[in-house]
Amino acid sequence: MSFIAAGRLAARTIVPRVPARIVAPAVARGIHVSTVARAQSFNDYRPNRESFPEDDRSTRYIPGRGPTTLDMTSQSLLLTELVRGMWVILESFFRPPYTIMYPFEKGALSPRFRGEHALRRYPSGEERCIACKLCEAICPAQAITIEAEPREDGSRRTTRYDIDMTKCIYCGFCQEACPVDAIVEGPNYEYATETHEELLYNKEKLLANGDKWEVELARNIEADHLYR
Amino acid sequence: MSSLPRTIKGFFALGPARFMRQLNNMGDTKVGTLVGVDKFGNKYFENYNESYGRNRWVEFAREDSFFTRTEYNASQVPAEWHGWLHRMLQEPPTTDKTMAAPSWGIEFTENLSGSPKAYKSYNTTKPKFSEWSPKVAKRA
Repeated sequence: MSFIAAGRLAARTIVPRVPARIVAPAVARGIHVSTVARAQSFNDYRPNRESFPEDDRSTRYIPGRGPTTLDMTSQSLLLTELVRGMWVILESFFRPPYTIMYPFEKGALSPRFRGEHALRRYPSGEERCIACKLCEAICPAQAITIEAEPREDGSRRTTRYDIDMTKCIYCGFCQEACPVDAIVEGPNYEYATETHEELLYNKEKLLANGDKWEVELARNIEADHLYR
Repeated sequence: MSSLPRTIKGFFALGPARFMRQLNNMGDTKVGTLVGVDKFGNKYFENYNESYGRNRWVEFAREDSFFTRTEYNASQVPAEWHGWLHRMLQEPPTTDKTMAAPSWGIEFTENLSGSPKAYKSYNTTKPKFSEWSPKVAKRA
């Protein structure tokens, strides 16, 4: 008795939610009850089973605990499962819908959302991209194609910055690789097109995207600056 | 579509014209406070008694009518209001003064796919090779 009392005390102090009838005998016999077994014994939804204390993963049938034959027969005869399922539907029918009326109401987005690409500019208006080609190198889908040559003033710029938006897997590696925050994945996801060709973005399109979305791009980068 | 009491309440709160317009476009009646109007005339509303996800919404300036269909477009929300509508930002751009568009920013356009102004891809580099133009030496 004193062993069991000690076991109950231990069970109450260490893990209070585990039933004492499972932990106490195991503790009394000096058997370790793992957290897996405790969780299983606590969460097991089968009413006529109990976790087997000596084995973490097995359960054993306890005669006389489960539903009787009369219970099961009457439930199948009266179609209670069917009625319960239909009741759930009826409840939902009278609840307000969770549907978002899309073009008017839109789902929540994170500032880190990775949508349509854009090439950004410095506040002066100078384009940021220096054609280091890190994004091209890291792109797992090889969707980016860059060609570079010196500009008239001698600065190194891209002459070609193409992204095949149908190859892109939107992993965001390009914006993580970029040392000057030039290529970013913006918040826009409403750029579906009618033809494939329209999704082969070139440099001008990407810069135009940046010019269109810079207000929000800057805000999103600012919102994330503590974590970068 | 929502419940009958809500629709009746919406009718008395919105008036017949807006009621019909909302039912025609949104399929629901929504009453809220006007937060602002963007440069295209889209109106932005909020009502925090609505369930989360439905508490901010836009009523587009270009709407469906009896004569025309699908004039509004989901991509008509400009970048200034996009973050507020998607609940990235707490403050709307009318009160958020840190949201200033750059001087080199360009006019926001909706997704123009399918229209004559749709983007068409083109080459931004000089061609790497050109066709051979033979030079024939003059015969003596």
